[in-house]
Amino acid sequence: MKLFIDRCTALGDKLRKAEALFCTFLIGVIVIIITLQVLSRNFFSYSIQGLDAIVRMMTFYIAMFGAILATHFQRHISIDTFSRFASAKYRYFLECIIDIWCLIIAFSLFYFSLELVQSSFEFGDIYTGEISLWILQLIIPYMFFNHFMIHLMNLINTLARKK
Amino acid sequence: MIFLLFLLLFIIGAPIYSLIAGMTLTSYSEAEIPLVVIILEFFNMSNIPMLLALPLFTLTGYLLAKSEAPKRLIYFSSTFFKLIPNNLIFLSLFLAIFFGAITGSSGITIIAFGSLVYSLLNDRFSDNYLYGFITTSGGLGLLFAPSLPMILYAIIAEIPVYDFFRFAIIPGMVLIVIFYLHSIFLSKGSIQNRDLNIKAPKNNKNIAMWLEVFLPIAVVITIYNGLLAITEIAAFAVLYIFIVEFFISKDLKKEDLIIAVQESMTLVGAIFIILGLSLASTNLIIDQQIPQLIFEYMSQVVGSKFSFFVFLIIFLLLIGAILDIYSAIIIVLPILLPLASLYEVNSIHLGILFILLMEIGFITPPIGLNLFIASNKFQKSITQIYISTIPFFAILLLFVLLVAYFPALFLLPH
Repeated sequence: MKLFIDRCTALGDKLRKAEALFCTFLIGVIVIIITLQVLSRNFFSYSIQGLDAIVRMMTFYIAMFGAILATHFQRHISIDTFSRFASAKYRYFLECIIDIWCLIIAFSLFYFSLELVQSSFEFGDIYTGEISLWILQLIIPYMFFNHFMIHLMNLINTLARKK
Repeated sequence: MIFLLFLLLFIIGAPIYSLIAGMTLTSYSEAEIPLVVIILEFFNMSNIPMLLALPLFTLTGYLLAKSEAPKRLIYFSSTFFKLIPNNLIFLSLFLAIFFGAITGSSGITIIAFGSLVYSLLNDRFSDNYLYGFITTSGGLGLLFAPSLPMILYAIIAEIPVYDFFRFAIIPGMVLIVIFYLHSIFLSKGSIQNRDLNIKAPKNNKNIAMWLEVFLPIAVVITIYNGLLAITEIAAFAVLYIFIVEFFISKDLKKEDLIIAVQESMTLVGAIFIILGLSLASTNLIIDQQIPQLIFEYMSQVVGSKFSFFVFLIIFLLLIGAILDIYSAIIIVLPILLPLASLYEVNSIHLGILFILLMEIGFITPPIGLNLFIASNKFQKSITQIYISTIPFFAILLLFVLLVAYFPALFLLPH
């Protein structure tokens, strides 16, 4: 069990590093696209069609990876006044309750996001150009699945810590 | 029963996004709307054009904070403000506003400059005054471009961000003058033209220092003349600061860039997931005509614009005390906007009041974020920090009342 947890944690750490790198890449591409767009608009009076939609989608991807990072580093916005003043024993219970609650929510959202991807696939929805929408939407179940896994690992770690 | 469960989870510190998701799932089930619609609305976030400005400006702030820019900024202001009367107070306010506006966070300002401001001013003021001054002044930058809460407000309220920034200049400046005069009035003895004996940072590069100082000026000029879209300005700000910190000052390395991206995107992700889920809950709120129901109820209790402001101030003070500024904008604004328009309060006037009240929220017990940051920074009890901020709380509240009831004094004519 311990080996399994360690491997999952190591895999999670590697994934987070890869996601941070990918975010850096996306931001670089966005900056280049916008710079080119501004230059071509001002110097050649020409705008490349469809780039805005691509940039918006890249922003969405950055947000999704950011949300995973926020879960990984436990940096989601929350009101921690009560837990701040709680003793170690109570804090342990509070952490467990919060992780269980987040597990339920993450799993529900993961399930319904898969439903969305499935319906986009069945209807053959298309995003700008010829990109199938369901491929782009895959990031949503990926994000919620990661939320689910991170909270599951947190819960197991908290329970193991108690032992 | 379900409401109590959510309240309990909120109190014990469950992430706000999970509570919004839980409430939205419950409400959609009760309204017999397919739950997949929540995810569809969530995905619709990718159609908001201005959204990109938030991650890019956040990254700009993080890159600046990671470099030696804060030290250069202190050196610059100590040289530049030498001839300004009461330059120490001016410098402290300048630093707070500069970093508050660029990073969109008053907490970072307390962490970055708290000790310096304390050491500069501690022989001229009581400790209590200084704790209050530092804890509060961090929020002043939020009324200046490119303040992230103001951009987020403009996105949700669907108002031109340029107009919002332009209208916020006068209230922002007046507030600075009030803080400046208040500090002069309460200082022990003269603080006229005191020499600032601050040495240049090691390997100081003047060109980098000037370029960093020019950034907010360039952003403000570009925003106010409408030359570029806000997302384009944000992209140029990232590119500009990247060139300055990596190729001119050479303060940052490749690893710093990835760390800055990781840290800034963590904050952005935490905000965007709330925003996405709130889009679903907001649509349900509008579908169920909840603002109208609230208005019908309120019109019995709140009969006029005058009493609406009383309600608004009390309500937002309570919200500011329990929610952070981003969550408050995302969650509360969709309900407040239709109410405000029914009382003929325009979105920009409401926005300035909203930001000001959230600034107060940063220093309002029990969970004003700046109180905890300052308590940690100065190793003082929360109670002492609470007490030290009371005069500033009163000043800000008085100012809010003036902006609410006498908008003509502070807002530019349309």
